[in-house]
Amino acid sequence: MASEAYDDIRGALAEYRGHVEAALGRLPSNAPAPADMAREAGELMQWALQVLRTARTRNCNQLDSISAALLYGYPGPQSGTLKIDV
Amino acid sequence: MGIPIGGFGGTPTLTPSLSSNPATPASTGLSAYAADLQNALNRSIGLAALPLTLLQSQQSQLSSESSALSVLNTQFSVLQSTITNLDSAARNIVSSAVSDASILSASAGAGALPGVYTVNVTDPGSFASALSVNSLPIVTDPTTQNISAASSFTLTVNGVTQTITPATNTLNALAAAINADTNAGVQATIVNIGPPSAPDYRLSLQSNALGNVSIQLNDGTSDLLTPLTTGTLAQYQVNGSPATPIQSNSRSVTVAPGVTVQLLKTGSSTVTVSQTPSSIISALSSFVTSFNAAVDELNKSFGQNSGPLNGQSIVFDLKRSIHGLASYTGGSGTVTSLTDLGLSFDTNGHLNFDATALSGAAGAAMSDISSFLGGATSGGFLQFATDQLSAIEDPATGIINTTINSVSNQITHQNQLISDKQAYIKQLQTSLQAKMAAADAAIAQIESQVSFFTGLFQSMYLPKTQQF
Repeated sequence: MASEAYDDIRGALAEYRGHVEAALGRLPSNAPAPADMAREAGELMQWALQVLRTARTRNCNQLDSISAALLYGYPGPQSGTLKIDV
Repeated sequence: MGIPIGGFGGTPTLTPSLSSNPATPASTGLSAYAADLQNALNRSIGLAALPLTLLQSQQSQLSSESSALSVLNTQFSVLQSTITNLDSAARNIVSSAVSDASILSASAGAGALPGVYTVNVTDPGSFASALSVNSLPIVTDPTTQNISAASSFTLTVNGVTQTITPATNTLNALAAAINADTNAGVQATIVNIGPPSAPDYRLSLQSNALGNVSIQLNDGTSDLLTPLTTGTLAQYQVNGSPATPIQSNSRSVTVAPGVTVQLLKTGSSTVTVSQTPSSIISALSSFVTSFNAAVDELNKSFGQNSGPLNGQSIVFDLKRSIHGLASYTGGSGTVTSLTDLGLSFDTNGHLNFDATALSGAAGAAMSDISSFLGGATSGGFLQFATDQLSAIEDPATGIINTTINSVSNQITHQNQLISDKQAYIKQLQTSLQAKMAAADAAIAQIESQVSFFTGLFQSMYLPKTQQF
């Protein structure tokens, strides 16, 4: 997530989902509700969302800065001279 | 291996805490957005933020310089042409006048000496001519008929033969073929000697030279022409000599060095050749006008609101050259500078020309003027000016054209820089847009996963406070 390795994020999310499902599947039927697991999963997803949204915003700002570069210009050099008579 | 999730403060790995199987995210190898590439992109974006418009501004400046140089080139080219004209005028300071223009006309050029020449025309001469004979087929339409069915003819003029091959078998084509032969020595025409009710077109040949010139056309079988007029040579005397008039097969004759007359009719006329500064006055006036225009153009590169060539070495070089042109001194006698020719400077660096200084010049004064001016290749002011302007205007080595070429090369290089920069920025833009799209897709996937987990844990009847 932090390194914006988008190719890997998709697979990692699917893998994480599989792990959560497997973990829940191994719980005995009379086990208490997995509140801790739910909390951790929720916090992880929220963190992932925040990281990705931050990254997207940064990319958007960078794109804007490139576009702004096209509008940026310096004034021409000023130099004083004297008219020379022949 | 299970690593507890540390919440938002750390960098949690995607490993469930209750899993007995250690899971590490499978690495897919090189990712398009791996850390190294991300760092490279960050640096590139920083570099791309350099002002592209600065390059374009520089390009605009170079284009302005190129345009200004082109204008200067034109001005100095005009100045150069006025020097050429002045050179021509200096070599043609004589004029001629005739007392009887019906007898002859005259022209005086380089080498002509002032004086009065008397030309007595005893015979203006005449041209020999011949006409196609009566025994030939009558031609009523020269566009379709001919005086002979031959495809090739032999033209003999004063013993010199030419083969004439008309394009078609018509009288018109025959005449055209004769006139097309520059060595023929005759001019062919077609004349109708019949009444309107019975046209009779004939071929008529007239020699180009005066005198008794024999003319004949043969079609391989017989001669087709009969002599019509016998030409005579022109005859004339110059200043009463020689006793036996000079004979000429041309009416254009040279009666003295640089003095040519055209004999028109019998009679006597004088030709007066005199030196006059009028052509020089006219040429100097043009020189002054173009000189001032060049000065004005150069002055645009100096002072406030100056042009794009402000500060460029070429304008100083041109200023120095043009100053040297106007400051030339040389010659001997009464004319040693342009001031002696009536030229002077005003406070704006412009030349003024007072033609009265020259208008009355004659005799020794004209000689001094000629000495000062010299010639484009023989010395004097004209050679100096020619060399100066050649150094400025030469297409290959002149300072203006070499500068124009240099600026042109800079513009080409600048265009390449701009093109490269734009391509680079576009590449970055594409990359960033792709990253944003990938982020959007990942965000959508996570949000979907959040929904899934919500449903999953809620289905296990979690208390509301522990739902996300």
